[in-house]
Amino acid sequence: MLRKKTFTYFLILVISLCIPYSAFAQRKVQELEEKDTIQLFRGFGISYDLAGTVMRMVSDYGQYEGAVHVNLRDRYFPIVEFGLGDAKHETDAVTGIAAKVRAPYGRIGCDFNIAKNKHDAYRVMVGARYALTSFKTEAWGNIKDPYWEHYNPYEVTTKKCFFHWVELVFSVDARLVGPVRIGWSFRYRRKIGSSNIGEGNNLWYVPGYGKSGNVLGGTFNIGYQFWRKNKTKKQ
Amino acid sequence: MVKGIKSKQELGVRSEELGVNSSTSEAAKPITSFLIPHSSFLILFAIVAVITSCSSIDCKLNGSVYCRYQLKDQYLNDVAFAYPLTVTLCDTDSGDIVVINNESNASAIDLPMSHGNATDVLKFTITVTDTIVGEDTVYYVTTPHTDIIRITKTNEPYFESIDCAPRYNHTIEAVQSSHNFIDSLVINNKKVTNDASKENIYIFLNSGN
Repeated sequence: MLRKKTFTYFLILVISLCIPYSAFAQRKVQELEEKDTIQLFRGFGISYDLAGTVMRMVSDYGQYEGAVHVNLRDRYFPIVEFGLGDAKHETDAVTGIAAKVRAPYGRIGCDFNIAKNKHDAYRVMVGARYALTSFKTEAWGNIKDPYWEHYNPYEVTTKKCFFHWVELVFSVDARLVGPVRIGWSFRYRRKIGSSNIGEGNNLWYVPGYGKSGNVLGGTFNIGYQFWRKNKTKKQ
Repeated sequence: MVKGIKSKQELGVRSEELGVNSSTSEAAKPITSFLIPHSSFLILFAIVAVITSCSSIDCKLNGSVYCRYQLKDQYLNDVAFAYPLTVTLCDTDSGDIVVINNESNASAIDLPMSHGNATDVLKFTITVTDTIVGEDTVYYVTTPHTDIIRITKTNEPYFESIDCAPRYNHTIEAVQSSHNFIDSLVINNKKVTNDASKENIYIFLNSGN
């Protein structure tokens, strides 16, 4: 009986001594897990916006847009986007004019991966962009004078307009198969400034921005991820 | 133990590179998986629909371009015609057309300009009514007085948006007139746009009109 009691007390003592050490070890594990040992440059990726191409196919405007981003610690993604905005409206039934714009544009910015596990195959990102473009609008038609009643050729090439804006971006991105990734982004745009808009302050179409008055946008990207190869040190 | 943890972390990173989901990515999958692969086409459609449907444009309410004529006295005060005024546009495809018909007390007049002509010809006619009192009857005799106005101008097509009516702005280069009741015409603002507040041409009448 006494032996059994002594053993019980001994066991309790051992357990009570072990508890603080195991708690300490757990804390150490957590600290080590939190420490980010991953390399700064993880690779880079390229992507293409399918939404812009589909838009151009189904409507009178759209864009052909690609992007290159750099992966820093799986958390920060500096990005450069560049594209060709294209809009062509055939002769309008009401106004009787046609118009077109075709010009390049560019954006530069950074995305921040807000996913809890930044190394995950899925990325949830927020970011911002600064964008700019310079373009001319061409319009043409044959307009009937309402008073003199004869038709007059209508041909306009506007002055070169410089337009720049900022975008707030929310995007989701996932690995589709192997290094191929797919994702989408929603964007809120805010014009910073422009030149040579003319009276009325109206612009029909701005490459990369869309139609005038449209502050929402989005992309649907398919991309390819190039990972940095890890060098193994020989000991 | 430390080594074990490190290698686990590295395994997690490498597993992504190799295209294998780690256990943590499996845990995160339910959060985002519905957002991406299985509903890709729906999202693509939604993005295109949202972008293409949200555009709007505000065309100016006053899309028409008129040249404003203002009748002035010698002190540049605004005055009105003492007699009814009729204005006719000449040489249209339908001949001469009347745009203002016997308007009384006309002071500021907005008149259209042709889209393509280098020179517009307008006829200003005032109808002077003389009263003749007979022995038992009063007679009213109306006498029209007409002046021909020629406006030489350039025409500049202006584009605002595909959804807004196309228009032509004009720059007045010269104005001439006959002098039956008009003394002179002066260009005050040579740019003719849809800004109706600007007086483009001042009309001065002969004394007595």
